[in-house]
Amino acid sequence: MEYQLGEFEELVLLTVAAQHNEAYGVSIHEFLTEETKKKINISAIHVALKRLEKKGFVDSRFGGITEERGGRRKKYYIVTALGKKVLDASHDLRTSIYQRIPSLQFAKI
Amino acid sequence: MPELQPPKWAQRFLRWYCREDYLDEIEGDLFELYSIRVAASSRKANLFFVWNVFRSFRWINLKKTQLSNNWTMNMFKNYSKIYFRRFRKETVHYAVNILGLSLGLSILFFILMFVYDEQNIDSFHSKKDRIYRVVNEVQEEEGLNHYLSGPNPLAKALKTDFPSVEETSWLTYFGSHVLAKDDIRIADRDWAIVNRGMFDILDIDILEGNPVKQTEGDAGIVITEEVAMKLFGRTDVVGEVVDGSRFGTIEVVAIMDDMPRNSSYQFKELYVLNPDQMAEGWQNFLNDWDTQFMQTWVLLKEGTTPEDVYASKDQFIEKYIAEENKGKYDFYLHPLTEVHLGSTHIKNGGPAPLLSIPYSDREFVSMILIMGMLVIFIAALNYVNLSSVQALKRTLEASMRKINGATNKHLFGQLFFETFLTVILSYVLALLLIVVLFPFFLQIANKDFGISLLFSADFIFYHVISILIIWTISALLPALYYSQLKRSLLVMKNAFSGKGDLLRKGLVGIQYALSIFLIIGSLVIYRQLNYVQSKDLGFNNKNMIVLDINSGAARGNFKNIVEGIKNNPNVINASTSSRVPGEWKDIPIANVSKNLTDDAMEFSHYAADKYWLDTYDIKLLDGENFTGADQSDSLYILINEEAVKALNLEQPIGESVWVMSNSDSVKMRIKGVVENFHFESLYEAIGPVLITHWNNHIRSIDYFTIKYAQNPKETIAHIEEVNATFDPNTPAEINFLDQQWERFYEAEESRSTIILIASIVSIIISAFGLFGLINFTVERKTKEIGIRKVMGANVQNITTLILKDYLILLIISLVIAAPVSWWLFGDWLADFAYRINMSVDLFVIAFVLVLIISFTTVLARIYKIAKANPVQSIRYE
Repeated sequence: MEYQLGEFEELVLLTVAAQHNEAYGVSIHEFLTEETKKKINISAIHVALKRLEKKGFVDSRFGGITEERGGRRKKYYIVTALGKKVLDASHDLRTSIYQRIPSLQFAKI
Repeated sequence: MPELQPPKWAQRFLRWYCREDYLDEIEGDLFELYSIRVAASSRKANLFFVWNVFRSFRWINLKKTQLSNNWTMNMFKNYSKIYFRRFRKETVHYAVNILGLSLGLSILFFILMFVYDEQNIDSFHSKKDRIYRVVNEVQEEEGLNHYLSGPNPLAKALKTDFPSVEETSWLTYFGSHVLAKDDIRIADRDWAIVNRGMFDILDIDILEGNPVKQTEGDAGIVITEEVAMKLFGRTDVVGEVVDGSRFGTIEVVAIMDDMPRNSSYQFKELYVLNPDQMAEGWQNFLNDWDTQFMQTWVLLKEGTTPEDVYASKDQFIEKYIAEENKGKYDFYLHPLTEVHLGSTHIKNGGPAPLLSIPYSDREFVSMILIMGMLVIFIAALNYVNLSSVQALKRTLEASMRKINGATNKHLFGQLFFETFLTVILSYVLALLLIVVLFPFFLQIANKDFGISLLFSADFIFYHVISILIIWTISALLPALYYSQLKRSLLVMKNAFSGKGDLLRKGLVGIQYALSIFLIIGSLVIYRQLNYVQSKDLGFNNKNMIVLDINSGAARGNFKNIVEGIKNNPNVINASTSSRVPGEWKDIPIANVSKNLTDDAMEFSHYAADKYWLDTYDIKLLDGENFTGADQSDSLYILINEEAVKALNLEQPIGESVWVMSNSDSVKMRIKGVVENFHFESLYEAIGPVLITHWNNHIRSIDYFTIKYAQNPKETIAHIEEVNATFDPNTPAEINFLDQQWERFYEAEESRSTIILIASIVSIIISAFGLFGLINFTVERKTKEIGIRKVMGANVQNITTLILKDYLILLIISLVIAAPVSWWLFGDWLADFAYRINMSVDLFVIAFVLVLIISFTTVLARIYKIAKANPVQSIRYE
């Protein structure tokens, strides 16, 4: 089965899976900025989440209202079975290709 | 401490654009991020919040407007689907509509481009709103005349006397000139004499050098790269010198770029005069208020108008103009933007530089614009007709929609939407047509610009406006028909009511009246120009070569040159004269009177040798030609028939008249009378002509004319050879006489072709419309025709049945169009001194043409139905 999954989308999906049941926009943003050491705009994450949801890789639910959110609810995301399968497939593909790299000695850069 | 909040406006903006169901997530996250950052710096946090709001402004986050809500989208989807289904079903109908509209649109856009270009001639000068030419008004015998040449010192005096005048310059042309570098010589006509000020007035692009540099001698010269290449073989020639036939050895002070294509003048050489350093003779000439030679250009200061100059004009004229000319002389400022379209009142001639783009007039530009609108109007009428007929066929659809809850407004909207689709399709097709036909258009219109004009910012406005107008005009009536259909008709399947038949026929009538009007118009114009070009001019202008006399050497040796040229088997005859008929130069005037005390009459004057009449085939009606004896001939003259009339002579031969020059008056005897010949444009009536011998007291010779039998190339080589023998320093300036003559009519010919093509397209469009209508009639009458055939009708009966109504309609349109065109085009013809008559056959031809074109288009369709097996037609539906 073929799944369209962009590079950034994959990162977001992985984060959602990693922060199981606790993933929402800001948490994913913090996590990814931390891990990738790159500046990521929150709106890019929102777009990626919408796409993932449309493709059925994640599910969402609304959480409670908190004060620092200006009276808005949190939208939590959770990875679906399909999403997990896609991640597995992607991981397997990468690993299997990675393992085929002959063990060469690279000169120290 | 009050809680810190991100900027209110950004919040409002976010809430305005963002989808309700995404707002919790997006606004919540942005707030949360803000609250994390606000502790560090509230200003940075604010900025960051605003930045995020803008970054979130993405298509998928936007609120869906009404247009994109599902209801409306579905409606449009359905409309388009129905439209394209009908398109497939009624291909003929839609194809006719789209073809007609796209033809109309492409004609309209072509004409708009033409008009746009006409109106933007010379508009590239950055100070165009402040640039004026001085036009001199002179009260003369025959009335008030407008001239470009005015008193020579005018330029200088205007600048010193009027505070609102910023800069002035002469712009003058003396005839031909020659530039030489070593043994390379060039002579062309696109040159002018200017002052340094001209470079402040007009936008003349200087590539290298300084045009206003002070030079030695009478003048410096600015040349184009092309001229530099010709003379020097390179372009870095600033500071070098060239020899000129006009001002001796002169320095090249600058290299200029070619003038833009939409410039009235394409200068190749500009002499920058040093009036203060010139010899005394020149000084006297240039400072003489009585010599009206120089053309003057003026740049006004910013914020001033010609009125500021006129305010103190009276004192100015009082101060400078000689006593005897006061009251007869006046001047005004003619704006640069008027030069191309508003110069028809200015009398031709004088030492004006040669125009690269001949003057046109506003009347023609509006005429052709109206024409373009008429054509598109005809196309829109087509659409109205065919679509309202279609609307009637769609009773069932309309009723179904109404039953399902559509209001009249919805049905109305549906047809507007369909019309929009048609107009857009036609528009795309029209653009394709324009791109394909553009090279032909340029050729026909005698224009030179890029197709990018069509897509320029200025023009996109016209696109939008035309589409909107055509859309509205076309959609309104059919939409009314369609939406007003009675719901009760639903019960009858595809019931057809004859509603609107009269209106429809009325529209077809209007269409045909317009087409006939346009055809008559283009026939009149076409015939008139044809007439002008083939009219017996009273002299021969075919197989004639004109050689300009540009030097004293040629003038002094003219007899040898004439004889030398004649000495060749290709040459039939050769002669010399002061002017040639049909040349671009003005024909000078000589004052003639019967008695010295009488008021002098103005005769156009030619000086000629004894071969001149023969060379030009001008008929001698009475008396004798010159004999060739220089001394005795000098006191004889020839006159034309008009002159005999003007002088009121019974027996002209042997009579004596006074011929006056500036300095003296000489009594001369009439030796012969020649037939009238057209020496100017046929716009002007033939006036009295005086022909003196070359050896006269008024004017010297300026041209050779050579009549050749065949082989113009060899003849020209021979002429050049002879010219070089007697005048080695001046290159021969050779022209064909009929080419010169055609200059008068070139512009008009291209205009008449445009008009002709536009009117042919208008008939084709009308024919399309008729085809569509008849197609519909035939469909409607299929059953009727079947029954008639069964009852014994033949093909002819059936054809008559269908065409009869339309024939009557055509006749009615003719009756409407004929008097209008009679009146309008008769008026146009009145401008010509020599013109065709508005004859009945014009109307017959126009009518028959429309008849043939329309009926041949529909005949095949009718024939098919008339021949068809009646069983099939009765089974129809």
